[in-house]
Amino acid sequence: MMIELHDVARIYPTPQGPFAALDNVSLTIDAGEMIAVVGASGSGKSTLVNLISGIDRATTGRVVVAGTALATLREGQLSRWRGRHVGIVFQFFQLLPTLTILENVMLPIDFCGTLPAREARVRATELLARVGIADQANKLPAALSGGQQQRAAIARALATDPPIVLADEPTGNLDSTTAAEILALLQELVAAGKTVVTVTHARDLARHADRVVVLADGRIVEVARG
Amino acid sequence: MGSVRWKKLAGDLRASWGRIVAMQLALAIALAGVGTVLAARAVLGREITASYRSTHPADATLELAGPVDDALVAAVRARPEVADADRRQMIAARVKLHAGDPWQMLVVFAADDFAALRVNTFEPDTGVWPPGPGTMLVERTALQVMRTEVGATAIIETPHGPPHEIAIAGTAHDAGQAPNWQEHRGVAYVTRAELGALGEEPALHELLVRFQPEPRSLAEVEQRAEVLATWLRARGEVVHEVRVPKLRQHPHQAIMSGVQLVLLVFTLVLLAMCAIVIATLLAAILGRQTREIGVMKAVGASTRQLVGMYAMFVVALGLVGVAIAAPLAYVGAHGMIANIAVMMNITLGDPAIPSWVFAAQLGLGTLVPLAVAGVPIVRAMRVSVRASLAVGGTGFARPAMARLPIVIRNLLRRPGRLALTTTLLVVAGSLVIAAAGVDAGMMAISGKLETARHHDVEIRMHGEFDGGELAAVPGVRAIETWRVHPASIVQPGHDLEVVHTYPDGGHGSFALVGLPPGGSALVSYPVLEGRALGASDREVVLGRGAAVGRHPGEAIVIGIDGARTPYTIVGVVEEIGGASAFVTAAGFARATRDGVALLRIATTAGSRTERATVLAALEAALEARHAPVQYAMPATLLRSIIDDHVVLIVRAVIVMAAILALVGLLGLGSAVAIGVAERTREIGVMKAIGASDGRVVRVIVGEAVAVGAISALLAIAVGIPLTAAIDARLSLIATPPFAIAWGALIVLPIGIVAGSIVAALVPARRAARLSVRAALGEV
Repeated sequence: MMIELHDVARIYPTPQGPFAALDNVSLTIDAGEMIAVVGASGSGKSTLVNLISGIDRATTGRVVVAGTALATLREGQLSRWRGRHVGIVFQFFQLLPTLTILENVMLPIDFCGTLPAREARVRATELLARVGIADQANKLPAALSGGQQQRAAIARALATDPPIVLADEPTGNLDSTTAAEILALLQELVAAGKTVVTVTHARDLARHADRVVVLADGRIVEVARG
Repeated sequence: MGSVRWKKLAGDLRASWGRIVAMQLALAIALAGVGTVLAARAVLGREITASYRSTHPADATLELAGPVDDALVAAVRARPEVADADRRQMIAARVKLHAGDPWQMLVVFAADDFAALRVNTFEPDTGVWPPGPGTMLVERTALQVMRTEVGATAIIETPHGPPHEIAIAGTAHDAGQAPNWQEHRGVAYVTRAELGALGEEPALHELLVRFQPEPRSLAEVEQRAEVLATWLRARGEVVHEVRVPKLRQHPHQAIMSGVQLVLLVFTLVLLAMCAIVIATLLAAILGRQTREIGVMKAVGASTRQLVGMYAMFVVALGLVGVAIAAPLAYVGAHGMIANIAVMMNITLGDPAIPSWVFAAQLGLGTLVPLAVAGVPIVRAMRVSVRASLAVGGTGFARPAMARLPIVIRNLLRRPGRLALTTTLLVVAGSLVIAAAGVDAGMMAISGKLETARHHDVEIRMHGEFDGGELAAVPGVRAIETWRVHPASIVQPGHDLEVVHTYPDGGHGSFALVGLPPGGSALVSYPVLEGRALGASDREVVLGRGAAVGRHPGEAIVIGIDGARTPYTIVGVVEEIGGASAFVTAAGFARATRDGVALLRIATTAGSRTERATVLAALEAALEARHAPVQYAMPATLLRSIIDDHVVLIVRAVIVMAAILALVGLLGLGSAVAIGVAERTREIGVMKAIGASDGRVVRVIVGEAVAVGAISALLAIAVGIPLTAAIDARLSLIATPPFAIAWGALIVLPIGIVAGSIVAALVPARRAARLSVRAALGEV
């Protein structure tokens, strides 16, 4: 089991009282699976992904990812753990604007110390070639199209060779052609043995997943084969 | 490994270069200010003491009725408690260059052997040393007062001699004397033989003594002086007076300490203000970084790595600040040191700034930014990844604010920053107001004289004289004869009368002052405590300088020439530049039959020239009556003396207030620029829905003006009581009267509002020029 969620709830205090973004969710995901999480806005999709990445913590229940119970890690340990085990792809790319594309990809390696500087550069260059934007390596993010930026973000997510890639609406900000290219990239990752969890509205993406988890009001209402 | 993250930091800093420059500027100003003051304090603290000590100042001066001869000096030197002894004679004389000139005060010191001075020494400066027959030396700062030069001749009048012509053979430097121009009187040095030529007895009556081991307190000096006086009396000597000045302290040390205190306080405020500017700017830089910090954490950065990155930046900022500030402080400190050395009449033996000052600068330069940056850095790191990725960064308005005007609502979105900016402006503004108020008060000290004194000429005689004899002199409107006698306040349980007079006879002196019979119509000292003297009073009213801790109702024993007279203090009055005990004529008679006349004269003169004419007529009348004059001075001269004593503090306060105002405006400008940058997207929305460029500029400038106006009003509200509080603690010559600097009250709000407009205009226009697309695209 790569990812296990047991009776997980995430409750936020709000001025109107406690709000359960996720309520009593249990889910297991195998290594090498591609999962699509779908649901209406506010159904708890992003919360689910955030709990898996350790960006957010469960209010109750257990989250075990890559063999680690996340509740046992302190904030600092969690960052290190995330850097090595989870690659994250955001809807708005979230590339750092003052670093070149190559440097953006090298940054996680720098923080996690997984490779020496020279090897980090080689690996980042390889990853950029793999996502098809090697020629953009020395440009700043602002000079790239949305699709190119998302490719760069995927390359960054793979920088430390994590077993899991989490993608929150990775195609939500892209046109259909570019979205298809990104989808193909994610499928390649699965083929290479990565566990991929994507939050999506895109039917295409859901169709290519091994399983589709449907959320409504913080609960899993359906788990279907993709 | 690490090049990527440092590159990211460098790139971010380049993107915020305006704020970095502002931070660097604030830090450099603060460090330069702190460095200058610390260095000046360190060097002057050392050099003033060293310079004064190099004169081997007497711990005590005993004035004997008979001459101090070689045998007596030798016997005193042989005593175990005496480290060294010497003899001297001080004469209060007058000097002028030409027959028609007005007299000026001159203190004449006579010594035996200029080559073998041992106590209260002075050094050759220019010209001939020692002075030959028919010549004298003057203190190097006396030439300016006397408006003469070495080689010229002067006319000297001593208490017992007729005016006598004498040549100025050279100058001496006497580090024990305050600058003569500040005192508006000269100091001259002659040989004992020359005393005779001046019409005085060629004898030295003052025994100057330094004790051993080095006394640690004034009480210790007094006790040893008492032992010595008792021994002298047992040998048959008559001890007239024992003078114990402040323990090995320059006569103007109090003024110097006041200046340094003012500078230190202002510098600390400056440092605190710069810390606020840095904290505000850094919080803004980190605020813009919140999302990126979240991303970095999401890709594996630990809090420690991120804290390390930003802490390194802050330390680098500090080091650059130190590098800029250290040379500025070096130059500033040497300028200040040289200036104050002139003001204190000292020679700088070793002007080197001790290395701890630079170490302190380095320490402050790195630790203060780290300390103020700690809070925003830790706060930025504590934001969860989830929250930081969702951050909007412009603050929000609470529902309850809906009723407030939009300008205020906008300001209240960042209450913390509003509080810091307002604090900065209020602190700077109130200190500027207080500085202007204290300056006005300082300069008004001499003005206080005019409300207390209704005479415009003061003449002090060498002996008794009835002022009534001068009533017929043309131009005299009213004349009062007061009587003065140097005195001492006898401490309970002590046998000896000790006065705290310095060798010049002026600094630290105390006198019993008798009002004219029937009281005075020309002088009315403001009562601080208790009451004024009644016509039939036989008790005493103390001047503020003499009261120091004594209050009405307490008993006091005044000693004059061995006689002790008990009085009850009935009041304390504001007396400027002296320490006196005031009594009625009847009260005076209780203590002594002697005394010298102090004539207070109101003239009909309407101008300086007319007053000089009346003064000359009075001098002529006194000369005709062979009545020797100690000094005769117009009231304006006393004003100049007082003004020249406070000029140093006034200058220091003005310079510091100006620097504070600069930092205050720097902080305001930074805060406005930050606010505008954070709201770029919002400005885009405003423009998208139809706001004109002018409207955008007006909204932003309006907010800055609102902050400026509110701060200016608060600054005035704080500054006025602050003026009173500082006034109450500054008491060098007199407590400065509370004064409001109306000019500052008008200029400050205008200045702050104008500064706010200028500070806001640049970012506002930049925001207005942004295209809607670019503004909306801003993250």
